[in-house]
Amino acid sequence: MLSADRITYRIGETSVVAETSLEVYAGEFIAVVGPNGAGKTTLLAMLAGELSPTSGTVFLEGEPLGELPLAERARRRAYLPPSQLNEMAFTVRDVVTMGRHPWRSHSLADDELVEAAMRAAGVEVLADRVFSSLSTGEAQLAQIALILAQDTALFLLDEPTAGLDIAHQERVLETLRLMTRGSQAVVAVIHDLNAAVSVANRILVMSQGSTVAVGSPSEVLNDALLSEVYAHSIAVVDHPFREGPLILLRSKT
Amino acid sequence: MNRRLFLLAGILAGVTLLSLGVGSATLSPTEAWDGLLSGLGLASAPRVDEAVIWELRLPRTLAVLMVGECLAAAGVGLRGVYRNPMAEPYLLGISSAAGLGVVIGSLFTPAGVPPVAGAILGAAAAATMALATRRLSVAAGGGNRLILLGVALGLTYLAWTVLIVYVGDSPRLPTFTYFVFGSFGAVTWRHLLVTFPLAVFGTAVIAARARSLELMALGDSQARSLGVDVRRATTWVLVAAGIATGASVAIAGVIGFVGLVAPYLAVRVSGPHHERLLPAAMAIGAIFLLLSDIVARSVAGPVEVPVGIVAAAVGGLLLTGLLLRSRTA
Repeated sequence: MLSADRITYRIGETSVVAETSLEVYAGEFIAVVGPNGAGKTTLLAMLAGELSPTSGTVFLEGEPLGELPLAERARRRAYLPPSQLNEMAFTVRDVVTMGRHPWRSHSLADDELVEAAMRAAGVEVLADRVFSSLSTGEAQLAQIALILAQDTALFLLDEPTAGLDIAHQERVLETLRLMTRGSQAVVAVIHDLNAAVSVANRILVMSQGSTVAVGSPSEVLNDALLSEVYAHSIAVVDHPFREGPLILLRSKT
Repeated sequence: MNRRLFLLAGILAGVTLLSLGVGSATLSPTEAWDGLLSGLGLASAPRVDEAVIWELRLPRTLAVLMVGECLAAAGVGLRGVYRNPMAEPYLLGISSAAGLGVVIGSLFTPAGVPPVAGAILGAAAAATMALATRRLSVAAGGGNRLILLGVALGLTYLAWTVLIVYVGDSPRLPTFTYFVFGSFGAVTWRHLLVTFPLAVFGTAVIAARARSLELMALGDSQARSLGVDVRRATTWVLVAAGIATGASVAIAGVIGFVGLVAPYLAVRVSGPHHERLLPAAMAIGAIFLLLSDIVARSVAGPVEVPVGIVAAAVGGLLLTGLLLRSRTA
């Protein structure tokens, strides 16, 4: 569906992302994790076509992303950029409706998709609120609803759960996970390792601009790798309630 | 919402008739209407009334309408691009750049020739300045620092303009007050003819990009990811806002704050959607400027007060309010 072939992004002499390759398949949920400054946001922006790689190529459904017109990209992938506060006099429903822009049709089906997207993100009760009046978390949910309304085969989300309480975090991640049951794919930057593990089929661990490991959570995550990447002592144990690992911090003392 | 747009259109029509009637010889709205129809051979009105309407009041009123809608459309475009309610042609220095262009153009226009050079040079200067604000915005770190830069540059252009007017001392140069504060006192059909195409072009381009401006409220990256060519839309809107401003300045001099007041009120009347916001702002801009011009013509008896002073008296207060409310200085 999406493939990155040794993409690098350089600012001056520094490689923010170096020679990273990734293949995203339909029905997959890939969580990108790693410490601050590891290059996660830059990687995602390149996968979305928001940044052009200094070298290497991103292919979307077999075609070089850089050569696809903006409108065509918008029908094939949705991208949630890192959150920024916007003053907007639009209502939440107006904002979510903007997600239908790439399809440029104004049919009843559009309205239903917008309503469904708002329900999925849990913002249907906020539909008529003015966007500027929302809390940070509510605004984040509204923007996720916008992405969902775009209804593309691939979703790229930069920290979709930033600023959300645990219940909303669960709800957003569960919604995204449900979409991968069909043929849709999700790539999301997620800071909370346990949240990442609970939804992702594959984890991509980044450190200092490079991919350190890619694979299923239980394959990839272990004490040594995480402790080194995060420069903090971390223990990985079996989760008491479900399959998969549970990541715990050891205190420094 | 559409009812509000119709209401605005009604108010606009009423104020337009009022503007046709007010002046040194006052005509009632019915007399003004008759005079207007009489010029088209559709009614008979006293010859004097007809002449007053067709030679003086009509070109003037049409010019006010044109300038009002142009500055409002430019204001809608600029605040959309910069996501800042204070981004408007005057505060960004675009109007003053146009003023400098018009004055330089007028220097090279022989007497008796339509002021084409002034209009074109004014529009070109304004479009250049409008495009330059994008670089300035990046350099200034965006936000209200861009507004401060615009005000600073605007004052510089104004100083040069005044200097040329003083030193030039040519009868072809527009007079000092006309330029600095704006006035419709010298408008003729010929002025209208020259600037009208520029005004139509500027407004039409902004209207064509209205949908992109709306999506750009989400932020540039989100808009781009939804398929909006943000760079191209920005370039077109800036150029169009510049040209619309240039047309306004060529006909009436530098009038501030219309581009600030009109979109500000329009959002409250029509809501934020551009397909309604833009016509609402254009109507409000025209109404606001018509009323300002009526006051300017009548407040001090036979002497005309520059219209920009009336507009600034209201707009300055609004700007103060906006600045006090915005926390990001």
